[in-house]
Amino acid sequence: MQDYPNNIVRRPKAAISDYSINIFHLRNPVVVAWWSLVYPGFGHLRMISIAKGMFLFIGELLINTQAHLNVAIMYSFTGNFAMAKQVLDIHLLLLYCGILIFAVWDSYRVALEINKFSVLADHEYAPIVPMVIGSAGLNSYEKRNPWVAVAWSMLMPGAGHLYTMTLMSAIFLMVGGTVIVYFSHLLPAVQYTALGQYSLAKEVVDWQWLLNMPSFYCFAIYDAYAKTVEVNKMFDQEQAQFMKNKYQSPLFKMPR
Amino acid sequence: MYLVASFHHNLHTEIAIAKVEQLGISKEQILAVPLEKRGETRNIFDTIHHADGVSMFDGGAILGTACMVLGVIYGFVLDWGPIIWGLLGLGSGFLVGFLLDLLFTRVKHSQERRYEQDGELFILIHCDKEQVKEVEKALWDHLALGVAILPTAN
Repeated sequence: MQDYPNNIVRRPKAAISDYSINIFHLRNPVVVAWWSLVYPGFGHLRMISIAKGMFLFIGELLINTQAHLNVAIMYSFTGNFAMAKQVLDIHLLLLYCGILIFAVWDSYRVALEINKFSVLADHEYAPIVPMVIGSAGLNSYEKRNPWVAVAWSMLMPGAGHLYTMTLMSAIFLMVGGTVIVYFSHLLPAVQYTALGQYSLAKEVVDWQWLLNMPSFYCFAIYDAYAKTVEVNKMFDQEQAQFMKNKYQSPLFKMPR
Repeated sequence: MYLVASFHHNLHTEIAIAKVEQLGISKEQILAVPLEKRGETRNIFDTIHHADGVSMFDGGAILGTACMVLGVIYGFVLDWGPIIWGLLGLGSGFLVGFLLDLLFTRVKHSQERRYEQDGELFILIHCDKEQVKEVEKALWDHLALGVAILPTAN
Protein backbone atom coordinates (compact mmCIF):
# COMPACT_ATOMS: atom_id res chain seq x y z
CA MET A 1 0.00 0.00 0.00
CA GLN A 2 1.22 3.40 -0.94
CA ASP A 3 1.04 6.09 1.69
CA TYR A 4 -0.96 9.11 0.54
CA PRO A 5 -0.45 12.41 2.33
CA ASN A 6 -3.57 13.89 3.84
CA ASN A 7 -3.40 16.96 1.69
CA ILE A 8 -3.46 15.13 -1.64
CA VAL A 9 -5.22 17.04 -4.41
CA ARG A 10 -7.96 14.73 -5.68
CA ARG A 11 -9.31 17.02 -8.40
CA PRO A 12 -6.54 19.25 -9.70
CA LYS A 13 -7.45 22.23 -11.88
CA ALA A 14 -4.36 22.25 -14.06
CA ALA A 15 -0.94 20.76 -14.61
CA ILE A 16 2.04 22.88 -15.49
CA SER A 17 5.47 21.51 -16.37
CA ASP A 18 8.46 22.92 -18.17
CA TYR A 19 7.07 21.42 -21.39
CA SER A 20 3.41 22.16 -21.37
CA ILE A 21 0.28 23.40 -19.69
CA ASN A 22 -2.87 21.34 -19.37
CA ILE A 23 -6.05 22.80 -17.92
CA PHE A 24 -9.46 21.48 -16.93
CA HIS A 25 -12.16 23.86 -18.00
CA LEU A 26 -15.63 23.65 -19.46
CA ARG A 27 -15.78 22.85 -23.16
CA ASN A 28 -18.61 22.57 -25.59
CA PRO A 29 -18.71 18.84 -26.47
CA VAL A 30 -20.31 19.55 -29.84
CA VAL A 31 -17.45 21.80 -30.94
CA VAL A 32 -14.94 19.18 -29.77
CA ALA A 33 -16.77 16.46 -31.72
CA TRP A 34 -16.85 18.72 -34.77
CA TRP A 35 -13.05 19.06 -34.72
CA SER A 36 -12.79 15.27 -34.55
CA LEU A 37 -15.00 15.05 -37.61
CA VAL A 38 -12.79 17.54 -39.48
CA TYR A 39 -9.72 15.53 -38.62
CA PRO A 40 -9.64 12.57 -36.22
CA GLY A 41 -7.35 13.55 -33.37
CA PHE A 42 -8.05 17.28 -33.37
CA GLY A 43 -10.92 16.93 -30.91
CA HIS A 44 -8.62 15.19 -28.46
CA LEU A 45 -5.86 17.74 -29.01
CA ARG A 46 -8.39 20.47 -28.18
CA MET A 47 -8.88 18.81 -24.82
CA ILE A 48 -6.14 17.57 -22.59
CA SER A 49 -5.69 14.19 -24.34
CA ILE A 50 -2.64 15.29 -26.31
CA ALA A 51 -1.05 11.85 -26.76
CA LYS A 52 -4.33 10.23 -27.79
CA GLY A 53 -4.93 13.04 -30.28
CA MET A 54 -1.50 12.65 -31.88
CA PHE A 55 -1.99 8.90 -32.15
CA LEU A 56 -5.38 9.26 -33.87
CA PHE A 57 -4.03 11.97 -36.16
CA ILE A 58 -1.12 9.86 -37.36
CA GLY A 59 -3.44 6.87 -37.87
CA GLU A 60 -5.81 8.99 -39.93
CA LEU A 61 -3.00 10.44 -42.00
CA LEU A 62 -1.60 6.99 -42.84
CA ILE A 63 -4.98 5.50 -43.78
CA ASN A 64 -6.04 8.56 -45.76
CA THR A 65 -2.78 8.77 -47.67
CA GLN A 66 -2.71 5.06 -48.46
CA ALA A 67 -6.35 5.01 -49.59
CA HIS A 68 -6.09 8.27 -51.60
CA LEU A 69 -9.23 9.35 -49.83
CA ASN A 70 -8.63 13.08 -50.23
CA VAL A 71 -8.24 12.79 -53.99
CA ALA A 72 -11.43 10.72 -54.13
CA ILE A 73 -13.24 13.40 -52.11
CA MET A 74 -12.01 16.05 -54.51
CA TYR A 75 -13.18 14.13 -57.58
CA SER A 76 -16.55 13.40 -55.96
CA PHE A 77 -17.11 17.05 -55.10
CA THR A 78 -16.29 18.13 -58.64
CA GLY A 79 -18.64 15.55 -60.14
CA ASN A 80 -16.00 13.20 -61.53
CA PHE A 81 -17.35 10.03 -59.90
CA ALA A 82 -15.64 7.57 -62.22
CA MET A 83 -12.24 8.97 -61.31
CA ALA A 84 -13.17 8.93 -57.62
CA LYS A 85 -13.83 5.19 -57.78
CA GLN A 86 -10.67 4.63 -59.76
CA VAL A 87 -8.22 6.38 -57.40
CA LEU A 88 -9.47 4.77 -54.18
CA ASP A 89 -7.26 2.03 -52.79
CA ILE A 90 -9.44 -0.37 -50.82
CA HIS A 91 -6.69 -2.04 -48.79
CA LEU A 92 -7.21 0.25 -45.81
CA LEU A 93 -10.23 2.33 -46.83
CA LEU A 94 -12.79 0.71 -44.52
CA LEU A 95 -10.57 1.25 -41.48
CA TYR A 96 -11.15 4.97 -42.02
CA CYS A 97 -14.79 4.67 -40.95
CA GLY A 98 -13.70 3.06 -37.69
CA ILE A 99 -11.09 5.62 -36.79
CA LEU A 100 -13.33 8.54 -37.77
CA ILE A 101 -16.39 7.46 -35.82
CA PHE A 102 -14.30 6.39 -32.84
CA ALA A 103 -12.58 9.78 -32.71
CA VAL A 104 -15.89 11.67 -32.85
CA TRP A 105 -17.59 9.46 -30.28
CA ASP A 106 -14.65 9.32 -27.90
CA SER A 107 -13.91 13.05 -27.98
CA TYR A 108 -17.56 13.83 -27.26
CA ARG A 109 -17.55 11.40 -24.35
CA VAL A 110 -14.24 12.71 -22.95
CA ALA A 111 -15.50 16.31 -23.24
CA LEU A 112 -18.46 15.45 -21.03
CA GLU A 113 -16.15 13.80 -18.47
CA ILE A 114 -13.76 16.74 -18.51
CA ASN A 115 -16.64 19.13 -17.88
CA LYS A 116 -17.51 17.14 -14.76
CA PHE A 117 -13.89 17.08 -13.63
CA SER A 118 -13.60 20.80 -14.14
CA VAL A 119 -16.72 21.51 -12.06
CA LEU A 120 -15.25 19.33 -9.29
CA ALA A 121 -11.84 20.99 -9.59
CA ASP A 122 -13.42 24.43 -9.21
CA HIS A 123 -15.25 23.14 -6.17
CA GLU A 124 -12.14 21.60 -4.60
CA TYR A 125 -10.28 24.89 -5.14
CA ALA A 126 -6.89 23.23 -4.70
CA PRO A 127 -3.80 25.45 -4.64
CA ILE A 128 -2.66 26.32 -8.17
CA VAL A 129 1.05 26.27 -8.96
CA PRO A 130 1.73 29.51 -10.90
CA MET A 131 5.11 28.69 -12.40
CA VAL A 132 7.65 25.96 -12.91
CA ILE A 133 11.31 26.10 -13.69
CA GLY A 134 12.75 22.80 -14.87
CA SER A 135 15.63 21.39 -16.82
CA ALA A 136 13.94 22.19 -20.15
CA GLY A 137 13.09 25.78 -19.28
CA LEU A 138 10.65 28.12 -17.63
CA ASN A 139 6.90 27.90 -17.81
CA SER A 140 4.38 30.11 -16.08
CA TYR A 141 0.86 31.39 -16.40
CA GLU A 142 1.20 34.75 -18.09
CA LYS A 143 -1.13 37.22 -19.70
CA ARG A 144 -0.75 36.91 -23.44
CA ASN A 145 -2.70 38.44 -26.29
CA PRO A 146 -4.71 35.72 -28.08
CA TRP A 147 -4.62 37.69 -31.35
CA VAL A 148 -0.84 37.64 -31.28
CA ALA A 149 -1.08 33.84 -31.00
CA VAL A 150 -3.44 33.89 -34.01
CA ALA A 151 -1.04 36.02 -36.06
CA TRP A 152 1.94 33.76 -35.36
CA SER A 153 -0.09 30.63 -36.10
CA MET A 154 -1.10 32.09 -39.46
CA LEU A 155 2.53 32.62 -40.37
CA MET A 156 3.71 29.28 -38.97
CA PRO A 157 1.27 26.70 -37.56
CA GLY A 158 2.53 25.82 -34.08
CA ALA A 159 4.26 29.15 -33.41
CA GLY A 160 1.21 30.41 -31.54
CA HIS A 161 1.51 27.39 -29.26
CA LEU A 162 5.18 28.16 -28.65
CA TYR A 163 4.12 31.67 -27.62
CA THR A 164 1.60 30.20 -25.19
CA MET A 165 4.17 27.63 -23.99
CA THR A 166 2.17 24.49 -24.75
CA LEU A 167 5.21 22.81 -26.24
CA MET A 168 3.66 19.37 -26.85
CA SER A 169 1.07 20.80 -29.23
CA ALA A 170 3.63 23.20 -30.71
CA ILE A 171 6.04 20.42 -31.66
CA PHE A 172 3.22 18.31 -33.06
CA LEU A 173 1.84 21.16 -35.18
CA MET A 174 5.21 22.36 -36.42
CA VAL A 175 6.47 18.93 -37.43
CA GLY A 176 3.09 17.87 -38.85
CA GLY A 177 2.63 21.19 -40.64
CA THR A 178 6.08 21.04 -42.20
CA VAL A 179 5.51 17.48 -43.44
CA ILE A 180 2.17 18.41 -44.99
CA VAL A 181 3.51 21.62 -46.54
CA TYR A 182 6.44 19.71 -48.03
CA PHE A 183 4.52 16.80 -49.55
CA SER A 184 1.62 18.96 -50.78
CA HIS A 185 4.03 21.24 -52.71
CA LEU A 186 2.03 24.11 -51.23
CA LEU A 187 4.78 26.72 -51.26
CA PRO A 188 5.68 26.36 -54.96
CA ALA A 189 1.94 26.66 -55.66
CA VAL A 190 1.79 29.82 -53.53
CA GLN A 191 4.69 31.24 -55.52
CA TYR A 192 3.06 30.45 -58.89
CA THR A 193 -0.26 31.84 -57.67
CA ALA A 194 1.40 35.05 -56.54
CA LEU A 195 2.95 35.40 -60.01
CA GLY A 196 -0.43 34.80 -61.66
CA GLN A 197 0.53 31.43 -63.18
CA TYR A 198 -2.59 29.66 -61.98
CA SER A 199 -2.43 26.63 -64.27
CA LEU A 200 1.13 25.94 -63.16
CA ALA A 201 0.00 26.18 -59.53
CA LYS A 202 -2.71 23.58 -60.19
CA GLU A 203 -0.21 21.28 -61.84
CA VAL A 204 2.44 21.45 -59.15
CA VAL A 205 0.29 20.63 -56.09
CA ASP A 206 -0.17 17.11 -54.75
CA TRP A 207 -3.92 17.04 -54.15
CA GLN A 208 -3.87 14.15 -51.71
CA TRP A 209 -1.60 16.09 -49.34
CA LEU A 210 -2.92 19.58 -50.07
CA LEU A 211 -6.42 18.72 -48.87
CA ASN A 212 -4.99 18.07 -45.38
CA MET A 213 -3.94 21.68 -45.24
CA PRO A 214 -7.19 23.65 -44.66
CA SER A 215 -8.22 21.74 -41.54
CA PHE A 216 -4.67 21.58 -40.20
CA TYR A 217 -4.12 25.30 -40.73
CA CYS A 218 -7.44 26.38 -39.24
CA PHE A 219 -7.04 24.07 -36.29
CA ALA A 220 -3.58 25.44 -35.46
CA ILE A 221 -4.96 29.00 -35.47
CA TYR A 222 -8.10 28.20 -33.51
CA ASP A 223 -6.32 26.07 -30.93
CA ALA A 224 -3.61 28.68 -30.34
CA TYR A 225 -6.29 31.32 -29.74
CA ALA A 226 -8.27 29.09 -27.40
CA LYS A 227 -5.22 27.90 -25.45
CA THR A 228 -4.04 31.48 -24.92
CA VAL A 229 -7.45 32.43 -23.54
CA GLU A 230 -7.37 29.40 -21.24
CA VAL A 231 -3.90 30.18 -19.91
CA ASN A 232 -4.90 33.82 -19.31
CA LYS A 233 -7.86 32.62 -17.29
CA MET A 234 -5.62 30.36 -15.23
CA PHE A 235 -3.39 33.35 -14.50
CA ASP A 236 -6.41 35.27 -13.20
CA GLN A 237 -7.60 32.36 -11.09
CA GLU A 238 -4.19 31.71 -9.58
CA GLN A 239 -3.68 35.37 -8.76
CA ALA A 240 -7.14 35.65 -7.22
CA GLN A 241 -6.40 32.58 -5.10
CA PHE A 242 -3.07 34.05 -3.98
CA MET A 243 -4.67 37.40 -3.07
CA LYS A 244 -7.46 35.75 -1.13
CA ASN A 245 -5.01 33.63 0.85
CA LYS A 246 -2.54 36.37 1.63
CA TYR A 247 -4.40 39.68 1.69
CA GLN A 248 -7.68 38.96 3.41
CA SER A 249 -6.48 39.03 6.99
CA PRO A 250 -9.17 39.13 9.71
CA LEU A 251 -6.98 41.78 11.39
CA PHE A 252 -7.67 44.25 8.58
CA LYS A 253 -9.42 47.28 10.08
CA MET A 254 -12.46 47.97 7.93
CA PRO A 255 -13.33 51.65 7.42
CA ARG A 256 -16.19 52.88 9.60
CA MET B 1 -6.62 56.92 5.76
CA TYR B 2 -7.74 54.36 3.24
CA LEU B 3 -6.79 53.95 -0.39
CA VAL B 4 -8.97 52.02 -2.80
CA ALA B 5 -7.58 50.89 -6.14
CA SER B 6 -8.86 48.69 -8.92
CA PHE B 7 -6.65 46.51 -11.11
CA HIS B 8 -6.69 43.93 -13.84
CA HIS B 9 -5.23 40.54 -12.99
CA ASN B 10 -1.68 41.14 -14.10
CA LEU B 11 1.90 40.65 -12.89
CA HIS B 12 2.08 44.41 -12.36
CA THR B 13 -0.61 44.10 -9.73
CA GLU B 14 1.57 41.81 -7.63
CA ILE B 15 4.51 44.17 -8.07
CA ALA B 16 2.30 47.08 -6.95
CA ILE B 17 1.42 45.27 -3.73
CA ALA B 18 5.06 44.29 -3.19
CA LYS B 19 6.05 47.97 -3.58
CA VAL B 20 3.38 48.99 -1.09
CA GLU B 21 4.67 46.42 1.39
CA GLN B 22 8.21 47.74 0.90
CA LEU B 23 6.93 51.16 1.98
CA GLY B 24 6.30 49.64 5.39
CA ILE B 25 2.64 48.66 5.04
CA SER B 26 2.08 45.23 6.61
CA LYS B 27 -0.05 42.61 4.90
CA GLU B 28 -2.70 43.01 7.60
CA GLN B 29 -3.21 46.56 6.31
CA ILE B 30 -3.96 45.35 2.80
CA LEU B 31 -7.25 43.82 1.75
CA ALA B 32 -7.48 42.35 -1.75
CA VAL B 33 -10.87 41.53 -3.20
CA PRO B 34 -10.70 39.59 -6.48
CA LEU B 35 -14.11 39.70 -8.11
CA GLU B 36 -15.78 36.41 -8.97
CA LYS B 37 -15.47 35.65 -12.66
CA ARG B 38 -18.67 35.57 -14.57
CA GLY B 39 -19.39 32.00 -15.60
CA GLU B 40 -16.26 30.51 -14.13
CA THR B 41 -17.63 28.97 -10.96
CA ARG B 42 -21.16 30.37 -10.92
CA ASN B 43 -23.97 29.57 -13.32
CA ILE B 44 -22.30 26.41 -14.54
CA PHE B 45 -25.33 25.18 -16.41
CA ASP B 46 -25.96 28.51 -18.03
CA THR B 47 -22.51 28.74 -19.41
CA ILE B 48 -21.39 25.20 -20.11
CA HIS B 49 -21.57 25.78 -23.84
CA HIS B 50 -19.78 29.08 -23.89
CA ALA B 51 -17.52 28.63 -20.93
CA ASP B 52 -14.09 28.71 -22.49
CA GLY B 53 -14.43 32.27 -23.70
CA VAL B 54 -13.69 31.29 -27.28
CA SER B 55 -17.22 30.92 -28.56
CA MET B 56 -16.81 34.16 -30.52
CA PHE B 57 -14.25 32.22 -32.49
CA ASP B 58 -16.11 28.90 -32.73
CA GLY B 59 -18.49 29.80 -35.53
CA GLY B 60 -15.78 31.50 -37.57
CA ALA B 61 -13.36 28.59 -37.19
CA ILE B 62 -16.00 26.00 -38.04
CA LEU B 63 -17.36 27.68 -41.16
CA GLY B 64 -13.93 28.99 -42.13
CA THR B 65 -12.44 25.49 -42.19
CA ALA B 66 -15.38 24.01 -44.07
CA CYS B 67 -15.38 26.75 -46.73
CA MET B 68 -11.60 26.58 -47.07
CA VAL B 69 -11.78 22.85 -47.85
CA LEU B 70 -14.47 23.56 -50.45
CA GLY B 71 -12.44 26.44 -51.87
CA VAL B 72 -9.37 24.23 -52.33
CA ILE B 73 -11.46 21.47 -53.92
CA TYR B 74 -13.26 23.71 -56.40
CA GLY B 75 -10.00 25.56 -57.07
CA PHE B 76 -9.16 22.38 -58.97
CA VAL B 77 -11.69 23.27 -61.66
CA LEU B 78 -11.91 27.04 -61.25
CA ASP B 79 -9.67 29.63 -62.91
CA TRP B 80 -7.61 30.96 -60.02
CA GLY B 81 -6.52 27.61 -58.60
CA PRO B 82 -6.65 26.12 -55.09
CA ILE B 83 -4.63 28.72 -53.16
CA ILE B 84 -6.72 31.78 -53.90
CA TRP B 85 -10.06 29.94 -53.68
CA GLY B 86 -8.95 28.30 -50.44
CA LEU B 87 -8.11 31.65 -48.90
CA LEU B 88 -11.32 33.21 -50.21
CA GLY B 89 -13.22 30.28 -48.68
CA LEU B 90 -11.46 30.74 -45.36
CA GLY B 91 -12.09 34.48 -45.26
CA SER B 92 -15.72 34.38 -46.28
CA GLY B 93 -16.51 31.33 -44.11
CA PHE B 94 -14.86 32.90 -41.09
CA LEU B 95 -16.71 36.17 -41.59
CA VAL B 96 -20.12 34.53 -41.98
CA GLY B 97 -19.54 32.19 -39.01
CA PHE B 98 -18.30 35.04 -36.85
CA LEU B 99 -21.29 37.24 -37.74
CA LEU B 100 -23.75 34.42 -37.06
CA ASP B 101 -22.12 33.81 -33.69
CA LEU B 102 -22.26 37.50 -32.94
CA LEU B 103 -25.91 37.66 -33.94
CA PHE B 104 -26.99 34.73 -31.78
CA THR B 105 -25.00 35.61 -28.70
CA ARG B 106 -24.80 39.39 -28.92
CA VAL B 107 -26.45 40.18 -25.62
CA LYS B 108 -24.35 37.71 -23.68
CA HIS B 109 -21.09 38.87 -25.17
CA SER B 110 -21.78 42.54 -24.75
CA GLN B 111 -22.08 41.79 -21.05
CA GLU B 112 -18.80 39.90 -21.07
CA ARG B 113 -16.98 42.65 -22.89
CA ARG B 114 -18.19 45.23 -20.45
CA TYR B 115 -16.95 43.06 -17.65
CA GLU B 116 -13.52 42.71 -19.23
CA GLN B 117 -13.09 46.46 -19.34
CA ASP B 118 -13.88 46.88 -15.65
CA GLY B 119 -11.50 46.19 -12.81
CA GLU B 120 -11.19 42.56 -11.83
CA LEU B 121 -9.55 43.14 -8.49
CA PHE B 122 -10.03 45.73 -5.77
CA ILE B 123 -7.39 46.58 -3.22
CA LEU B 124 -8.03 48.44 -0.01
CA ILE B 125 -5.03 49.80 1.88
CA HIS B 126 -5.10 51.19 5.39
CA CYS B 127 -2.18 53.54 6.04
CA ASP B 128 -1.05 56.68 7.84
CA LYS B 129 -1.74 60.10 6.39
CA GLU B 130 2.00 60.66 5.69
CA GLN B 131 2.24 57.52 3.56
CA VAL B 132 -0.75 58.21 1.34
CA LYS B 133 1.21 60.11 -1.31
CA GLU B 134 3.86 57.45 -1.90
CA VAL B 135 1.42 54.54 -1.71
CA GLU B 136 -0.78 56.29 -4.25
CA LYS B 137 2.19 56.79 -6.55
CA ALA B 138 3.19 53.11 -6.26
CA LEU B 139 -0.35 52.10 -7.26
CA TRP B 140 -0.50 54.44 -10.24
CA ASP B 141 2.98 53.41 -11.36
CA HIS B 142 1.89 49.80 -11.68
CA LEU B 143 -1.15 50.13 -13.89
CA ALA B 144 -3.90 50.78 -11.37
CA LEU B 145 -7.11 51.43 -13.29
CA GLY B 146 -8.32 53.88 -10.67
CA VAL B 147 -7.31 55.04 -7.20
CA ALA B 148 -9.45 56.74 -4.56
CA ILE B 149 -8.53 58.12 -1.15
CA LEU B 150 -10.98 57.84 1.75
CA PRO B 151 -10.25 60.21 4.59
CA THR B 152 -11.25 58.79 7.97
CA ALA B 153 -11.49 60.19 11.48
CA ASN B 154 -8.69 58.08 12.93
